[in-house]
Amino acid sequence: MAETLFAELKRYVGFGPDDESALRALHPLVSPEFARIADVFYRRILDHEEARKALAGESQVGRLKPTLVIWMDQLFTGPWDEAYYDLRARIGRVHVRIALPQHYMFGAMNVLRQELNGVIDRHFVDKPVELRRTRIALAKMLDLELAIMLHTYREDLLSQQARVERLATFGHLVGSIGHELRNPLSVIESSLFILKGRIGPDERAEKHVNRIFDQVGIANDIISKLLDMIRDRPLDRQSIRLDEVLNSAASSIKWPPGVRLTQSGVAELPPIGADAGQLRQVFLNLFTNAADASGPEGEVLVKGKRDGAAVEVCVEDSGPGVHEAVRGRLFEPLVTDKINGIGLGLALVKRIVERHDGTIKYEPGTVRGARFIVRLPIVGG
Amino acid sequence: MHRHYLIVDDNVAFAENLAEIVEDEGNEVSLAFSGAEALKLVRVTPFDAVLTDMRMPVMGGAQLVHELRQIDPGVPALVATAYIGNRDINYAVHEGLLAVLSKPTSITILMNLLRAARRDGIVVMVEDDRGLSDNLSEALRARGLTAVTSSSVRETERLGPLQPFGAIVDLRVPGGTDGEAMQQLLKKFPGLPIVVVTGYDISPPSPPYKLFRKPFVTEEVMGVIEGLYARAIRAQ
Repeated sequence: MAETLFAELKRYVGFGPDDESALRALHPLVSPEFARIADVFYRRILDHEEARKALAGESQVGRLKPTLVIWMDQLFTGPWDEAYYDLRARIGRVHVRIALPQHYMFGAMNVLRQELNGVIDRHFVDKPVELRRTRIALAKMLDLELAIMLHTYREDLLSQQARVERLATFGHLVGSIGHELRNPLSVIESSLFILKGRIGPDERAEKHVNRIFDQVGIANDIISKLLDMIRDRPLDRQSIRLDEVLNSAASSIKWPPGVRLTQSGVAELPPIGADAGQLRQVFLNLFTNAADASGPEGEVLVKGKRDGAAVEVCVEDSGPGVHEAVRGRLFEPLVTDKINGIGLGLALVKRIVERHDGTIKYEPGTVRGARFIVRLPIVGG
Repeated sequence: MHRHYLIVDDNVAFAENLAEIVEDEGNEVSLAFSGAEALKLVRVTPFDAVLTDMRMPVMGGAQLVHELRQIDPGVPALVATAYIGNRDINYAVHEGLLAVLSKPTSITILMNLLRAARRDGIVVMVEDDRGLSDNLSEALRARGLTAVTSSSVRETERLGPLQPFGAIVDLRVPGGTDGEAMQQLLKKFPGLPIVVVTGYDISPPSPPYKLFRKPFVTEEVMGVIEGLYARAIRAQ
């Protein structure tokens, strides 16, 4: 079996059993200080304006401290195997996701190094051999940690970039193919128009001409949706009432007879500055999905609430929920778990919401099925 | 009444299909598969309407409309395009388009437009309320008249070379003082009869042909426009 990246790195810095035992021996001495070190670590971030911004402020820190304590605990107990590597790789990925600049990894690691070395120095002040051995083991391990973070950071950044490029190419391709397809479709449609007037009283011929008409219509519809998605229509922001938008969208959906639609808190929402037509499209798509998922018997809940300078509309259905395999990429184009879906609805929804400086997220619902939460700022209501 | 249309499209099958449909109604069609061919035909025949594609090699639809206006300023022009977002369309719109149709085109709508299209039927409309402007344009279009719209003083200054027979003007539009757009228009088209529509108690800088206070009955405005059109045609 080929040597793994972690094994190769350990070989490079010469991290071996001697280092492992040195770290394990240090564990009982440092562990009482983990909480204090975590305090120092996060206080330094909060005192540092740029780093604080990158970490999105104080509220995060309360949740992160226990994570750091666990991180230090693992650092001194191992085992430093492939599972350890995978665990650490996840941290690098989180850093990419929150767009943390890489240089803070070094800054933050330096703070940890200072604090941990301080503990070592105090305990081994009279034992220079032990002191040296422990310091070397720690230095090796902390640098391995940095190496893993950098590696996964780069790996993730590259794949993110590839994804963006793929989407851009996709958009371009869809644009030209979509437009080009409209030309042959117009020929088909006009030919049908002529044919329809000339086939005479032949029921079956008429049925099939009509069928071709319908299918051409469907093809056109798909093209229009695709083009809508890549076109980025400019927003026509006006002061609008969300309840009106929601009602208008809800009334153009063919709800299955057994599906009950309940709204709450929607009429109380303040007016917001938004493009009513495009937001209507957002809820039309969300409602269509909800209706499809919750039928033939079920319910759909639409809840509105104000949250500071934003409003939240939550659309929840009693269907089976979004399949786990597609959850992570749910808002990407061409991703769907519907049998007849082409996977454009939610991608379009996300684009429109983001153009309004809003957000959309998915979570499993409280009544079993899917729950989509759209959050929009109240600008210029 | 026998009518003669010009259809311009590099998609030969589509152009021929449309020709067949129009000819079935007892009208005549000339076909051009490029802008250059179209201009040659326009020079010798005053068509009842010209329908052109936007994207064609060498000369696109916008360029064709521009050249067309130099040769036959009064011909109603329609555009059918697979690319609705195309920026060139705006140029053509400012030089007078009876309609912009998306491809695939509804044959019924297209036939109605061709049937209704009237030569020398350009009306300038200065109105910043987009809803109202759209409604009036729609009403004019239904009568085969071409609305060229502007929503500000600046846009009015920039209106393309046109030969309108009348105008509908709101006195208060962004970018200038009350009545400035109307003055701009008169400077550009001296003697142009102007129908003023206003929601405020403002008096127009020059005597209007007729003044309507908002809200008004669209049909009444259309009646006045029809009168102006009849007058312009008689004067020819």
